[in-house]
Amino acid sequence: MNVNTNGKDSVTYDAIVVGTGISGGWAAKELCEKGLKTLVLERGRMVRHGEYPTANMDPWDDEHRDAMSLEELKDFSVQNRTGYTMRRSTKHWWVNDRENPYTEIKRFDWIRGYHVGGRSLMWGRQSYRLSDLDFEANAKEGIAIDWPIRYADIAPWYDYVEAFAGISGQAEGLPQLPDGKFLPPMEMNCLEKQVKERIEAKFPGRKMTIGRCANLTVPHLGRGNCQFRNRCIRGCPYGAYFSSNASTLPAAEKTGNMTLRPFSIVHSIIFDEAKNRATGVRVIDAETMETHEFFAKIIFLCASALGSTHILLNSTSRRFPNGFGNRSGVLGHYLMDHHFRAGARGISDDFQDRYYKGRRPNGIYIPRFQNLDEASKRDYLRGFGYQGGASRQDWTETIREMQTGIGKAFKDSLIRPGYWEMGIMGFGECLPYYENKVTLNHDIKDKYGLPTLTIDAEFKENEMKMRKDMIYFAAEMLEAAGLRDIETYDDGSWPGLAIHEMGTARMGNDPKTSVLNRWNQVHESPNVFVTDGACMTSAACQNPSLTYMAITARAANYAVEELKKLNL
Amino acid sequence: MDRREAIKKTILLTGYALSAPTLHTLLSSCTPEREVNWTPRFFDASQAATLTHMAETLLPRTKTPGAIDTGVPAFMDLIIRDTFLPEDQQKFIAGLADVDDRAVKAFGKPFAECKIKQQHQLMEQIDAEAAADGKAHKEAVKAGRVSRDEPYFNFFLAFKWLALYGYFTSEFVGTKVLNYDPIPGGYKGCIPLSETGNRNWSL
Repeated sequence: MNVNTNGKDSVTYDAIVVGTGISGGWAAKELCEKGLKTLVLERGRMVRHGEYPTANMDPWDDEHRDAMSLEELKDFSVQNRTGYTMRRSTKHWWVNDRENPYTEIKRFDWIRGYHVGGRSLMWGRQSYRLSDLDFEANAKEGIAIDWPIRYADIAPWYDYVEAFAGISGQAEGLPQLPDGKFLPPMEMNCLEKQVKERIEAKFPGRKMTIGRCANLTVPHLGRGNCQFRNRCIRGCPYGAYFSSNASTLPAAEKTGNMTLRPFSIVHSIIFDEAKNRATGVRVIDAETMETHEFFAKIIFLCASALGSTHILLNSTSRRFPNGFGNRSGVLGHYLMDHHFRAGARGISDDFQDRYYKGRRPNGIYIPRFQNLDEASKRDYLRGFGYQGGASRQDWTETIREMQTGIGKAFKDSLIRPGYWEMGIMGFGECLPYYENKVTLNHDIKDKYGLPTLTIDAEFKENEMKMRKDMIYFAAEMLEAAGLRDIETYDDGSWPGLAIHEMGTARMGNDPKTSVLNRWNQVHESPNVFVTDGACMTSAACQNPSLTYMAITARAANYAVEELKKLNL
Repeated sequence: MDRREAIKKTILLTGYALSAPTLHTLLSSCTPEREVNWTPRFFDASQAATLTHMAETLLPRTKTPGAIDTGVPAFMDLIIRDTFLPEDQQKFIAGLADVDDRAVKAFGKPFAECKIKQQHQLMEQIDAEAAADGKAHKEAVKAGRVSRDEPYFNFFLAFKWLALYGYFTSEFVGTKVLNYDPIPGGYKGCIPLSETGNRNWSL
């Protein structure tokens, strides 16, 4: 790989891509494949595909059996809030919270990974299309502003990115969750199949399908198929799930057009007042602390929703005193995330003589069935889908349920699989609220001298009403499916925790009320594109990464066409 | 290095595959039951003895190895030292002392010196009390009488969780007692349980 560690060698490119996660990897691939000499900037360290040090670690290979010590956790006070991300086998993927501070007005869990590949290495891989139900919702309900695109604009780009990324799933023909170009679906287990049949029989209009996920069920474009080890979060040596490291960055590299520069923290966009255009970016080298300037015809910001908005807010000039392209004043506003962690679980007495083989890194999905039409109208706007799955209980169940048991018989019983149990959890849409926002905090600087972010966001009444339904419908469906001892829960949800933070530089038709246009160009500086989660005008309830891929590929294609027409 | 360690090392070095029963026979032939065969890094000797005997009472050696065979007490000592909050460490130490007090009251001896039957009897009592306490707390949280954020620590529930965690993530149990399949290669959602020997998967 062409790794440029000496900024003096070359400072001028056709394109600059900021960030190497889901979106940045796609921008790099598309721009390089279309012949643009592209500088790809990553604030963190280099990670080449295969450099996954814990990928084959068994629990007993670590003296602490993967548990973090209190001393280690001191560096990860925010990253540890998920409860599942901080392990000794994964800690190298998450930011050190002491070195990467931000200010929370209300609790906001900012979960980040600063390295080549970003969170594409640790993501949940659930991949769902948005539909016109989502793209039209704001306009129909008079919420925030209308999306400047519709499903028809992005559908071919979903096709395009799915064909490369490799998404396994089952076509269902649902208007609210359009089908994609799927690899063969993963299999449901015995109980999941039974629950599916019973739910669909009892509740017309509700559907349970296998999760659509970016894990390969067959070998695909040189990457190996999933081995069902369920260790994805550590990095996959087989390249069996989509990550920048295994997929888009190698494709970009193959063109010979990519220069990847790790340890490059973008300070701001350079705006040339005389030329009246953005000409490049200022970069702080994280290792030397030196400042460099790089120049290009077009710039793609793909630094994550809050990362890209941070750069825009910090890119002030006479032309843009309140942040780059922020004449509208909405930059930093309308921060969203999904809310989740409410649902139900129950136990089945069936299939005692059945089990499964393999650790499937995927569950089931129940697409949104609320507020689709008059008949499904609820006392809140939008809706939620469920993710979940069934498995047989093991020793952890005796702890969770605080069952009694001591001695020989107890020990032997724990070696046998317990009852089948199934749980489903809602993932709900959060409306875009002006007052949910990020701002620059000039009083607290990071170690590079950059102002930090202050985040002020909360879920509101619409989300809280939806959570009651998440619990109610979950219990109703599991009961109808014949499960017993159904337990409902709401474990609380805070913005950030779903790691789907989005918005803050939204797309829109009107430059007075939006930052980006329908091609993800900054209205006031068309050679700057923002194609990560920052661009989202509403959140929908689907996991968003696939949409970022499609939006990025679409914008990159448009950028190159416009360059050819000499419009940029 | 004791003989048990030596055997384990030899197996590792030579890669010589012993069947589980053979290894068990080798391991069990030299170690007297319920002896503190590890050096504590956190607990004192008396606490370590109580902990070791409690762990073996919970998970005694049967045709499969027990807590002592699989290094559970030493693992618990390390985890409590490195991952427990200081206040929880103190509660754990107090919990061990309480077990000894109850053993003295009931049988005239600290727990580690009681007969195996007595140890089992006392632990069953404590187990039932802890489960009731834990369930009452869960109900109280559910009913909104106690805040979810209120710290809750029950010595015996913590003990039981750590012991089971140590046992089921130990190499011997993980590779020989449970079904160890590091690279399944595929997924089958509904197979006869008999194909797994009626045992749980390890990972």
